[in-house]
Amino acid sequence: MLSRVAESLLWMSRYVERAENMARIIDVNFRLMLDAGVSGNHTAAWEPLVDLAPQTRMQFNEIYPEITPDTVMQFMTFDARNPNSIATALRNARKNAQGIRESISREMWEQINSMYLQLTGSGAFASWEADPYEFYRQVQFGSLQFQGTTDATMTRDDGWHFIQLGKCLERADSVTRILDIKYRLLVSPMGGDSVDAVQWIAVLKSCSAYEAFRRSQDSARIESRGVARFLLLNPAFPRSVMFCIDEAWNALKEIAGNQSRRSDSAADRSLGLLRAQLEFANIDDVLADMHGFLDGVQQQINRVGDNVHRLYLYGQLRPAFSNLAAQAAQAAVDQQ
Amino acid sequence: MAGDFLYTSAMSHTAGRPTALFDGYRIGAAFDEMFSAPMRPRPHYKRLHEHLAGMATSEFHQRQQAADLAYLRQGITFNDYRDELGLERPFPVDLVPRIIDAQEWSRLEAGLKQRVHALNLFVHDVYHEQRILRQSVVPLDLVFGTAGYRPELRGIKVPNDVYLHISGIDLIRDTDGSYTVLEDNVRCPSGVSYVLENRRVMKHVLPNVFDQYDVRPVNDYPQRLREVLDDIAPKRGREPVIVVLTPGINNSAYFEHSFLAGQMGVQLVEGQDLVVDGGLVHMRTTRGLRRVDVIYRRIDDDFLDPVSFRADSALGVAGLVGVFRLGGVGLANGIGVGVADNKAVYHYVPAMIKYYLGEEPILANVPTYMAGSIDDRAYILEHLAELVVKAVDQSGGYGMLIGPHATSAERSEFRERIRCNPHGYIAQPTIQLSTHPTFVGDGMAGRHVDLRPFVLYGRDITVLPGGLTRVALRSGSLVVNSSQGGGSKDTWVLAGDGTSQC
Repeated sequence: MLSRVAESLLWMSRYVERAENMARIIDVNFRLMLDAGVSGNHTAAWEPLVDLAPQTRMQFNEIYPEITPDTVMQFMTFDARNPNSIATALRNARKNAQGIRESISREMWEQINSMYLQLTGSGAFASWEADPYEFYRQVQFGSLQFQGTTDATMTRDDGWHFIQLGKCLERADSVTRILDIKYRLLVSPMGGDSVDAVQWIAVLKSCSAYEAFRRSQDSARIESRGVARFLLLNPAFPRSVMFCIDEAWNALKEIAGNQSRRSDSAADRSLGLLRAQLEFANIDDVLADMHGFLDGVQQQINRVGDNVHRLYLYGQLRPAFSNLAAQAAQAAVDQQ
Repeated sequence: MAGDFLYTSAMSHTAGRPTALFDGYRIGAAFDEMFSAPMRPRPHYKRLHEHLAGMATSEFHQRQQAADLAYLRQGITFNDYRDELGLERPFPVDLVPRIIDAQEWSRLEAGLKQRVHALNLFVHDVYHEQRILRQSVVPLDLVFGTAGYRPELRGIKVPNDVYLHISGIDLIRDTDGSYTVLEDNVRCPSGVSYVLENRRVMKHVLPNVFDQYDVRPVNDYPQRLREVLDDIAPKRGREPVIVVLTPGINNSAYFEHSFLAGQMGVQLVEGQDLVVDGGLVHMRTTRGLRRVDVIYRRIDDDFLDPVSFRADSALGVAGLVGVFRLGGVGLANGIGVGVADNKAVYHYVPAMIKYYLGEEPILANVPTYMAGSIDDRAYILEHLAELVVKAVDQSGGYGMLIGPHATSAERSEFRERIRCNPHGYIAQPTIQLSTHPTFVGDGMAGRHVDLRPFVLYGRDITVLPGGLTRVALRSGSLVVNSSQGGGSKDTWVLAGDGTSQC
């Protein structure tokens, strides 16, 4: 498989997942706002979203005068200047897919293209204004549909494994970010137990984990310990960090599998380390320094990404030309 | 949900009594493909006309919208370079098919084969003995003075002596209906993906019409193309590794590059994916370097290899030309084939056919005045208002003056340009392209069309039965290029004469 194609598959998958996670987070916050709990304090509820990634806060402050549900939602949903907005993620996902159309199935391309056209096109803003709940649901379903389509139409070759790898790393990363934000918010004195429970339910819902959590052994009480354990360490729930890292591990094994010389590469080592760290983690230790733990996981995920990039993808080989696009336009314009 | 992003064109919806599609259809001075006289369809169009005439305008409108939507969804689009935002537009497809009966087609087919055969011999001659130039059948300066000539290829042997593996010959029909060659495209002719996709969409949207004709299939083109490419691989005793080389997603024909690679089951690559190492071409994969045997390149010579040609090209592969010269990789089309399709050499193609093949040309040329010759130049400058002037080394509808439609300022600008660089221009009489019924929102209207059939040259020469019918969607316009507001139609080549039910 071409390195460029592998890279695009991985990022296509990551961006679709990113759009979905962003939609989940906003969706849950939006619905939380409708509950009585935090109605008095919108800033407290929406501010954390702006802090999801380190750079976004600066970006936000440059554009918007203040944090309101509307400004944050617009910023996180449509703003092209926000590298993590849903629109940006969908645009990037499509751009990556477009460059490798012949390497994915027609159905996958059509799904990604339809999603992009529908959710970022001219009618998107109006449909969001009319029914935000429905809009975010469409983003989530679009992503799930894409994953189903991929599952049903894609050959299980390296390309498939790069897609899984991208998806799992992105998902694990985003779960740690959601936990981190809410944890900071919840351990600070903000309300009583009932607010806590409402907030933790919201966290679970933003990971589609509420029902699954309820059915699990941790479910007697909805409080930080059980929720954190479920979302971080549950080995069977497909949106837990442990599960995602496990899947990423399998994907990387498959990719490396046919080339034994690479089986103890830096990529494998960094991912294996992370996996062991999660597998043998003690929830009380984690809770003692939640932020530190989550930060460590995020950094390790980044390290895995870098190592995969260096080993299989372009790494240092990308040409240093900046005029690629302009030349591409001219290069065969003559015989249209 | 679908309505949210429907590709809307300026179409009016007629309320009340359904109107018939051909109400008010007028035949102009041009040859009309469907009608020999008002409401008198030609024999092979008869059943299509009957079917459409029974359809309400609103129903046809709905099907047209379905087709537009399908194209947008599938991303069958082209990029317009003048659009600063780089927006993609769906390539407009008109649902009224163009029909060519078997007899007419067999003549066209023979003419196209003959022409491509002669053009290929010409390219070979130019890079070897140069007989045709020595004997002054084609003037030397039309070859050596042009950008298309690549001295690096002198004396280089290419597989089977074939240079023009893929060509697209533009044909038009004059007022008497005779087919005439307007232009030869032998570098990177594009449009074949639309031929295949138009057919797919037509079957989907108008299956009933399709059923009534015995239309020859076009969907084996990718397989035939692959066979042609297989044939030019260096002999290695295993399945050759073929790639399609694209300039990237910003190229206007990117959809086609991706489409063909996908349909042939080969890898689509960009220049950055390829590297020359040890005298061979390789692609960079997740498992290291892998040798490439054949490159179907959709990049012009200029950008192909920064070592041999434009040094600032970021799209090509450094050292590729060297590998090609030594036979380490097959290229389609060959390098330096631009000598065969500049607009001045065009004038001499009938002479080439006589010279190399000893045959009379089956397909005629449009009369051409060469601004480089004194007599012709005087004529051109005097009759600028009646002529179409074209820059010799440009195409795609760029660098062109359509005299009758031009302003006097545009005409004097071209007059000046011709005076400064006479060898850079040719002129042709304004030809009334044939018209074809085309859906314009509230019914059918005649719009000008041309035809680009695609010719493959492998072991032998074959013509794809069909081709891209391009249509000028603006009323009265003669410019059919997609970059200038053109659309396309499905083109049906019939197995018979189209009059008997199949």
